[in-house]
Amino acid sequence: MGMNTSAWFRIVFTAKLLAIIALTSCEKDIRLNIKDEGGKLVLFAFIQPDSSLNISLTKSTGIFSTSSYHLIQNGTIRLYRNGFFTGDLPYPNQTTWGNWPSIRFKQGDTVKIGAYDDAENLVTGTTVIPYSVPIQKIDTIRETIPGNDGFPKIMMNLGIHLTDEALNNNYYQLHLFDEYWKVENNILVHHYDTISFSKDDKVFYNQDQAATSFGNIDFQGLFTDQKINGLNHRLKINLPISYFEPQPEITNRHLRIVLYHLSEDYYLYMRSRIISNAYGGMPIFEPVKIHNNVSQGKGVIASLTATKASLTIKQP
Amino acid sequence: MRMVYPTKRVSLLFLLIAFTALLAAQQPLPQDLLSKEIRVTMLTGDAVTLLKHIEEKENIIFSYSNKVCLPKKVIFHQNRAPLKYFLDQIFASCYVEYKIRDNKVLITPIKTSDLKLTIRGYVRDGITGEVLIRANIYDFYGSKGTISNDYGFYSLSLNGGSASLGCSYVGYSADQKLIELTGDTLINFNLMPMPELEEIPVFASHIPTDVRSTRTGTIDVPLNQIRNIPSFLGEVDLIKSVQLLPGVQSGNEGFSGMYVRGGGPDQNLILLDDIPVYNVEHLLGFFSIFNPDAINKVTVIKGGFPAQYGGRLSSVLDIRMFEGNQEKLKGSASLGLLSSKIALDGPLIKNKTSFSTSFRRTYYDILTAPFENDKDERSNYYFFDLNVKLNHQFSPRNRIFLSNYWGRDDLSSRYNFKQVTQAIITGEEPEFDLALNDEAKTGWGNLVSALRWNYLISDKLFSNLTITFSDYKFATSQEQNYYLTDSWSNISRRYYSGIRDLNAKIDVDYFPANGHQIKFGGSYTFHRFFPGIDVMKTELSTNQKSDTTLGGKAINGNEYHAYIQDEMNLSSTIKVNMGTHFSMYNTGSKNYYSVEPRLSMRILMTPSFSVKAAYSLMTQYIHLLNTANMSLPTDLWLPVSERINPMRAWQTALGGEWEIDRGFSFSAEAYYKELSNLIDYKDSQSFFDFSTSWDNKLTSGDGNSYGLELLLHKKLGAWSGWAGYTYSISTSHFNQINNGKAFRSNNDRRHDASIFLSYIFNSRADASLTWAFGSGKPVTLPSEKYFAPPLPTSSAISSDYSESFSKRNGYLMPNFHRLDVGMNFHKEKSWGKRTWSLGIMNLYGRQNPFFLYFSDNKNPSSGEITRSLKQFSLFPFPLPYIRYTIYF
Repeated sequence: MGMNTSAWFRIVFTAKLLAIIALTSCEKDIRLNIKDEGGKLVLFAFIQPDSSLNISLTKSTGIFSTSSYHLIQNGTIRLYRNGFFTGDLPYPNQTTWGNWPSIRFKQGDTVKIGAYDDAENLVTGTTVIPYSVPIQKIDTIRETIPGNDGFPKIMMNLGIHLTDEALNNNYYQLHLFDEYWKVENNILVHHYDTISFSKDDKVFYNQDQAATSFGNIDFQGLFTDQKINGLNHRLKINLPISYFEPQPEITNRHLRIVLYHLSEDYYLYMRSRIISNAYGGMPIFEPVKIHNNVSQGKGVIASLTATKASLTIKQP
Repeated sequence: MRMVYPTKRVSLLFLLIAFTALLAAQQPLPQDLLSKEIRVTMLTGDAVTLLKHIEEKENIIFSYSNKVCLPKKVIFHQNRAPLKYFLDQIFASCYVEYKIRDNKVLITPIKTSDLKLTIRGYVRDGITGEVLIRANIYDFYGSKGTISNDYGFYSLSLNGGSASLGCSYVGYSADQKLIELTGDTLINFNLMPMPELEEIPVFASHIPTDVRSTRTGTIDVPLNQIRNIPSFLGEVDLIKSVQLLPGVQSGNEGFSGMYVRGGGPDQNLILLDDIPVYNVEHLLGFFSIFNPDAINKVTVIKGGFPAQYGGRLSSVLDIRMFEGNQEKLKGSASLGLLSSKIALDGPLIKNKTSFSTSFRRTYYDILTAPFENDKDERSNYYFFDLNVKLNHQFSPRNRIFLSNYWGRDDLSSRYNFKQVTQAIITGEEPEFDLALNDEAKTGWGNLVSALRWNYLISDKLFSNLTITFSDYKFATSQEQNYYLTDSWSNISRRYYSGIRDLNAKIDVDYFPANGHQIKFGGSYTFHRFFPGIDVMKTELSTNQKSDTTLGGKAINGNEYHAYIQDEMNLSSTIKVNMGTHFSMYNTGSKNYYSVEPRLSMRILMTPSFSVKAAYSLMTQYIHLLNTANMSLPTDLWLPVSERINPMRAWQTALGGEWEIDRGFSFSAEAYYKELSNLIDYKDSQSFFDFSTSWDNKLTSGDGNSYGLELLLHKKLGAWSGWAGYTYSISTSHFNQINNGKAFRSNNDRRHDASIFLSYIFNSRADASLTWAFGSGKPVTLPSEKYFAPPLPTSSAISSDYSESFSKRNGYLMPNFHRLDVGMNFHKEKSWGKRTWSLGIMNLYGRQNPFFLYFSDNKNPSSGEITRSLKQFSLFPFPLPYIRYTIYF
């Protein structure tokens, strides 16, 4: 559906804005006794199995600071795998991310990450790396449906078949990429573009909920198994036929499909970041609380596993 | 000692009763003679002749003294009937009683002072015929009194004989009638409005209505004063005036939200002639929908709810529209900066049928139209209100009313003008250019209607049957045209939400004795909720059409209420109002029900001072899903569900009412209130997340509120006005919000004060001022920033930091205060009166906080960046207004 958030805001809040402008308003600096709570350790890790370990350790700042965060000195990372201590790692000074290529985890591992600095304030967070969810099958159906401009459009109805595991709450994210090689100025250039697709499948939004044209937030392909728990499901994605038709100067084209199986903390953190970003700090909304699972500090220790599939597009 | 077993006792008792009954059956019962059917052949004559005729025909002896009145002419309309029928016909105009001795009938006169008689009638404005609600009616000889009900009706039981009946109402000259009561009597009072500067004649033994009433937490809004309150752009606003009363707070400056004793705006039952109104805001809340020209009476109930009210937790705003002048056509017209108004009322059939109508419309769009006509892109905004009320009296006992309100806000814009060939659209020759444009519209409004039948069943039984319809709808739509070289498409998208109610209810007032009033009734409401529905229509030049409907399905609900309440004098000083309200809500798959006791008590310490106490339990089955933290027309009304339970609140209050002098009173009231099953969004959830069902986004919690409210009120005289003060504390607690810790409720303002003063210089000029103060409103502010890393699977989350909030509503905005002044200049004209109203809002230019936010500032000379907390203010300077009104 077409009318997006900005359209709605343009229509409805224009009235408010007009009134405010007409009646004039003003702003001024004020002083409130705001508690400065900066200085907490902030720990992030988004662990993917069989990938090198990346961990971020920073410090928070007070709200009046012009810096977004503080880098730290002399930090230490403490790792546990499946309940066993595996060692302390010195965190590189003055950087947002530390990387340990040799440390890798497997699906199903329980990973606990702790961190402390000179002040020896230990913060910790835990995640269980989810198992990958296989893509059972991909199919395509060519169909003609009205486009956003009302004119009939030939679309490719792409079906991605998956089986949800019934015993646990599962969290997913779907990404589609258009990978191709194109001759540009006599040079073959590799492209890997993210495909923005409409979230019409029932897993992406609640059809009984308030209207999509009213201004939906794009959750970038996040979904849960709330409606497909324990079921086989064909994820239906409508894509313009142009992605599937031979194009001059393009060779070797693939539709890459990535289905992420997310830990709950990853899902909740990403959702809260998206909502917070969508509201853009507008003071007429109650501030959104960003998800946090790091005790004694801030941040998220989360994990995800990717399943990949692809469709090769025949080129002339 | 011999034991008597219970079974034996029962058997003995049964035998005794049976034996007594057997004996009684052998004796002719007195009523047997009176009910004995007799036949007469003489159908007319004087009383003595007819009595002799019956004696001769039926062998009955009548015995009566010369004190019994004996009518000269009596006509029987039938010749065969019980004896009592004929006696009643003979003594129809006299008060006698019959006693039976064997076959003798003793006829004795009854002293009029022994008679229990009922006086009933209506209290009305002597000029307009409008009913006066809660007027005081008092018999000075018998020291008995009552008040008129919501329809101006009263019923008073008195002994026969002399009575001195007085009637008074604030702002009206009192009326007193000396009468000799010999039977049930209809006495209507038509009180004359009092010139505002005149002193008030009040009966010496008069006990003021507010002192006498059992009601706590109830304020009869002084409409005459409210019409003089300085107003935003000259628009007198009922809701904003109510916000100046103690216990009622506004959400944000300049907005119409009402927060009563710690409750939210959805916890107020706003009734317009008994019809619930769901959205009371124009221009996104800057104005309320109620046109004061159409309003007769407004009552705010904040606690001590009588059993007749139910369905909301925190307040009832009971608004009654004018019925219409019974005597002659009257009207007013008014021209302001924002809107113009016209009101007309008068008789359609004199003393039978009258009407009252008022219309208000903004004219920004009309004024700007000449300048916009040539533009390809233009925007319009307007709102209007239309109130129409009709009433017809079929007989003194039967009257019907039809009340209607229709109001709407509309914002529209046209853009993307294109010249296209007509042949593309119609496919017909010849081709010529046509201008097409895209269009966006947003609107919201209420349509409410009530049909009411007042029926006086007897002198002591008054019934009111009402059928109401209430429809609130918000809609936004967009129409776009797309063009290809030889074809064209038109897409229209529409989103709408709202609530529609159909209600039937009956209320019965029963006046069994003096100082004793029983009220009972019941109602059924069919709710239909529209929780956001999308409709997309596509039309192509190839004549292909398609409709798609998405979004929420309409939800139906059935709400039932029944109540009974009894108000009575326990002694000369103690009066109680006790009752029970029953309610039930059926979601289709689940039933919720509630039994709600209500109790109010008043102790008259002196004729001018009373102490009152009250307890009430309330239940609410529908709630408002807010779009933002201020009221917006997009907010969704939704019912309880299998997961969302009804909200409940109990409240207790203790207060005193003191009439210091005539029309000058002081009241103080302390209250404590607990609320449960309140709903709010979970942390990290929002209205615009449509991937989650609405009841999954919500969490429930509890709250409490307590405080003290003081009101000093001078209602009459050259100087009039009030000073109100509220001290209150309101706290909320949700397991899934604020880490499960209690926090200040959204509108928890510790101190709230207001002063309204009005001075009448003479009949040609008056002035008024209001000053309002509120301590800072709670606000959630971040106290910390921290790293927000890019996510491996996210494409566009822009900010590199997140903000952390240590506590919900953990800070307070700066205090709010504002002074408004206004003057009215009146002049009598041959055709009526004209009034110029001038004033200034925010006289000393106070910058009150609307919202707070953090911002980086760059020093232009040094380039240094600093970060500060900023306050955004609306109307930060003196804002003048002017309005011209004529009355004819």
